[in-house]
Amino acid sequence: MWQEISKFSKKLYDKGYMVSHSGNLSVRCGDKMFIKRRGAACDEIGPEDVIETDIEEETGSIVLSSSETDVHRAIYKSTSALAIVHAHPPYSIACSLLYDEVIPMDAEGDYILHKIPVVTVEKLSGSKELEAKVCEALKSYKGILVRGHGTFAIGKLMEEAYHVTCMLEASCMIRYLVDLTGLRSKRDKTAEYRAW
Amino acid sequence: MASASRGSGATRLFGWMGHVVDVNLTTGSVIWKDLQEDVAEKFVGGRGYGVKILYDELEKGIDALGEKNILVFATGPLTGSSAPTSGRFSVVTKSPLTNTVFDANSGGFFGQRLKACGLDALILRGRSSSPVYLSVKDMDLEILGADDLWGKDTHETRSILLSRHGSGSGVACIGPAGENLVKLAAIMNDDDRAAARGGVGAVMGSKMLKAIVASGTAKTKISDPESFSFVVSECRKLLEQNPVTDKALPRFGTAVLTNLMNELNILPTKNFTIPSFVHANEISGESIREKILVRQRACFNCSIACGRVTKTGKKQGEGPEYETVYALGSDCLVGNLEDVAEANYLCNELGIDTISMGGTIATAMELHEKGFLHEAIEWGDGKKVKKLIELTARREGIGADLAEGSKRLAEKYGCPELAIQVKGLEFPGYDPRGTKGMGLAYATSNRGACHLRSYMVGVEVLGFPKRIDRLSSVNKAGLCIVQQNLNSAMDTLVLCRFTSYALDEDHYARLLSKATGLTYKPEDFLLLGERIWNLERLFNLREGFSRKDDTLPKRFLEEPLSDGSTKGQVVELEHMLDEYYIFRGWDEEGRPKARKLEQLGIG
Repeated sequence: MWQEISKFSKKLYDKGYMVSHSGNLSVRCGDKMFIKRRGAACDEIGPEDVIETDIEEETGSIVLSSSETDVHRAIYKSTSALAIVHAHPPYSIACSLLYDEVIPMDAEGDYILHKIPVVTVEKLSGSKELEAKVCEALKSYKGILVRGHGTFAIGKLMEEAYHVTCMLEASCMIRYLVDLTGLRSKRDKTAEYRAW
Repeated sequence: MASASRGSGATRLFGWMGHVVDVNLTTGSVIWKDLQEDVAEKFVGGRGYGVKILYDELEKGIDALGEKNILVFATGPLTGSSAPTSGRFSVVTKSPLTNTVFDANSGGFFGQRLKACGLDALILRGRSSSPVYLSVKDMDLEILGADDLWGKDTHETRSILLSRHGSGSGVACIGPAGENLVKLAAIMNDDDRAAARGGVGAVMGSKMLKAIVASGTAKTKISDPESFSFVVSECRKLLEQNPVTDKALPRFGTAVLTNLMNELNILPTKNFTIPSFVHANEISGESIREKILVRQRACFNCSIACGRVTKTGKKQGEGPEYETVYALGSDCLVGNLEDVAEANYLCNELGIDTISMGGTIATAMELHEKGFLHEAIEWGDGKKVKKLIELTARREGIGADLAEGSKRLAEKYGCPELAIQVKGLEFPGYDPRGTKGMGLAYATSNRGACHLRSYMVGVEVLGFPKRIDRLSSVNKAGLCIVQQNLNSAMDTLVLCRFTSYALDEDHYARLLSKATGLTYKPEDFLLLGERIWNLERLFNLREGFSRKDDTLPKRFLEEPLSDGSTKGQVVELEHMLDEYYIFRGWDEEGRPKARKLEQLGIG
């Protein structure tokens, strides 16, 4: 299992979506999950950097596991996700600071995501409020933004959660760049997908 | 003639019609009831609604072909709407083949016709003393004599009833196989569409019910027509952009899988003793298109049009689809396309499930080869296959044994391990030794070996949503369960499984929400499926099924494949099953824990 987490952590790091040691990934296996260890470098995940912990109950492994472990646990308990990626892609964070929701302008984005909700919380990491709001949003969307923090994406496979993360960032980048020009896009799905 | 009473039909819900009709064929009573809204919200329609009725009302251990069994025809809140593939219906009953709870669904147009009569479900009880058929027209239901139809094949039956009740009617009927209580009997509609599996046609035959004719004018009312139309247009866009639903299936039909499965060494051949067939290309989707295709055929509101109208030198009919190509072709070593197609036509006319028929004949061939069965049933004899189908439908000669399915056949002739079945249901066309997650899906299916509960081939072979290692048995349980839950929920709508190549729970939940005005988030939709799956499990546990039945034939557990890319493979089932039970929230014996039932609202 650690190989899977290591592989996608490295890919996200190389793309600049996870910075240094920040960001985390997990995979669900029955009533357990495997999650990146707190403080592990994203591009150097080894077998000892992946922690096995219970989904239903807290265990002593919280000492080692990611600071977002409780959020991951809550997502698994409230959705059918089998993999989670939490990353910090720059355009996604930028858009989360500018908009209350992001409607993709690109064809791939509206094909896969339709709409990207932005969740706002007071305490940005590891809080009950973050757990509750992220879980609620992920019941309806595979990828979301947390204002000023980053992305959460879920999938039935790690590769799917990775794909959703990449789509979030691509759609946010295009939205940001188009808006930066101050010109009106000739293709805008905002009206159609606002209610999605 | 029937006596009738009606409910008020006062429903606040959209999508549903608000009526259920309950017919007792023993007494002739016809009772129209209001749809129970709380049950509809929780179980929606189709498979879910039917399973709920069966669980609540069937006594433990009843004879599936006895008077006490119940046969439910149910549609869903999207049936008859503009949603893609919305003309389907479900049949739910206790199966005489598996003795489990069972649902089979069918495409064509009958589902739309049935719902247009103003009802969501038709519940059939008891047993008529003589052959009858039902005529339903705009909430008028009559029980009519069918002495003149008894013994006729499904095409002739439909033709007579359409001339009698109008060509715009829908007809679902059984053929001679159903009348003769063949445990492989299907219910056929629109000539060649089938609620095929599990012997549901035999249950209809046991009630002396030959057919149901439906015609009506009621429309499915949508709560938010504008938003619903937008979601429908999004779904259509995705279906039209997907290479499987827009290209592969329309061009080649489901048999497009034949060459691919053959190349990957998972095309079951010679009763699953070898994983590839030297004549695979001759019976493939490409050959069907080139040699015998007359035209495509689409079901109600379907843009995919995977149906194949075909013609051989002797006959015209529909098919074969991939599962039939495997079952009546490679699994019996029949490599002549015309023989396979004509065997398919015969099954349709006589009202027989092609998968179970082929699987049972393949078992008979191996029994004969190994000296257990003296009747000369040789591998590759396509003419004999057709003869055996006719004998089975009429329960004549060896056909009386074949009519019981492969499990009982192999037990009778002293070699039960040659029956390739789970819980009595014959396998579809994917050797689980080359797609391990599919092995888990077969073993845990509530209705026996089935590819429609969880199609792990999708993720392990076709790469939907991403491709994973098909030969690994690690970490497959979660995916298998998500698919089982999603498919269970989809069967409440009742939409075609092929839409799931392009759509997911997000789209289905939005269609359901916009149609009904109730809120179903994608996760609610999956929870709906999980609720149904667990209720089916409770039904089966009550009938005496347990972990010992969640298994595979010895062939897949102990006999490695001998060549190709799957050489040396067997299914490592036990650890996948352990993981599956944990994931499900079940105990080691496969019993749902109280906490799980409470979470699902069925405790």
